[in-house]
Amino acid sequence: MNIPQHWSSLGKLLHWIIAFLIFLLLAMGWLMDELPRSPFKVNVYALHKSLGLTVLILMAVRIAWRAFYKRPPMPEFMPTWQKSLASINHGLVYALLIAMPLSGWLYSSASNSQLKWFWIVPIPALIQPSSEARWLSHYAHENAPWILTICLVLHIGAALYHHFIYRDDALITMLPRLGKRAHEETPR
Amino acid sequence: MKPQIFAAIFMLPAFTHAESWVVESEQSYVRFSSAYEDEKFTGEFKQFEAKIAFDTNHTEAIAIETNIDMTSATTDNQERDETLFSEEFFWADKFKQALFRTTNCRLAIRPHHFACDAILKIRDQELPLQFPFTWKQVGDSAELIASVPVKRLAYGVGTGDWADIALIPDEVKVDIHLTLRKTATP
Repeated sequence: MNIPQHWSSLGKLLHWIIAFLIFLLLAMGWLMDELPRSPFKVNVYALHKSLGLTVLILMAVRIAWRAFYKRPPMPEFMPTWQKSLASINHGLVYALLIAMPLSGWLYSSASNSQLKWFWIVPIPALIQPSSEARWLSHYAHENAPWILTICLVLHIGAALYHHFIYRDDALITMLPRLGKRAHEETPR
Repeated sequence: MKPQIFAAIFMLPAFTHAESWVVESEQSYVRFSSAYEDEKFTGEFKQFEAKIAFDTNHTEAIAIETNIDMTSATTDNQERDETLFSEEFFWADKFKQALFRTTNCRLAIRPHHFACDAILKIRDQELPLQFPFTWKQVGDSAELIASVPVKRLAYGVGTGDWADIALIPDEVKVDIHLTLRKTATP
């Protein structure tokens, strides 16, 4: 299997679409319970669930894709322990991006809520309604975002650090290649 | 005998013939069906009381009265139930009970079928209602079955943005199934 020098267009697309969705989902998750009871609130929840399921689908695509395509190497100067920490953080984010939509889906199922993906595709319940399952899945779904946020702050912080302080290609390899392909002039 | 007294004897209140019936709660239910954005759901009022006086031969003596505890409603979905208890729907804190009573009953054409004029009070709205039902009696046991459409908007159930009938239809189907036991005739 070839080790690419940079992420492919599909890899980048998946990364940024999922990143954008996570941002929306976290914001909604934070704010939407405060809304007064109304049909609008019902729709916001429906949108939140639809976007969450979309992340789940995209993560499945991403994991399948990663089974066949290796990621580009991390900057060479990084010590092994740093690369390991980065890998752990990435792995944790992947795990949370599966656990979050799943726990949400479980919560919706346990609450006996009808679930439709973007108001069109009926989504089956994962489990029978149950107040215990409801409590557990809600607890997971409400608290995991804190861990995810910490992981993302570290991830984004590190990406910016690599870009502005180390001035390496770490962030560039994940950005769309607009205009001059600067990093191709410095072959590894 | 004077004609007035003679007539009076024949005008003795017919309800002395009516039998008194009690609800066997295990097998009885009062349920309601509606839909939200075409997703159907059913709820049940777990607590209700009914007083029933019935006489197959004297339909004018039939009297049905029920108190329904609005706080006992459940649709197996906590968010939906909380919405139903809120001010825009049942306002269950303020209007704990719905009251129903028949005023005038008569035989309907089909066997075992009866029809009554009735009054239903939900929240602060008291409105007339037609109440057709079937009554099947075996000895001291009877089954009363009715399915009645109730127009929620007239009662103020689901106001503001919730009044939109594209979201929730106006007509709510109420299904009543009472298993009854005769008590001592008064």
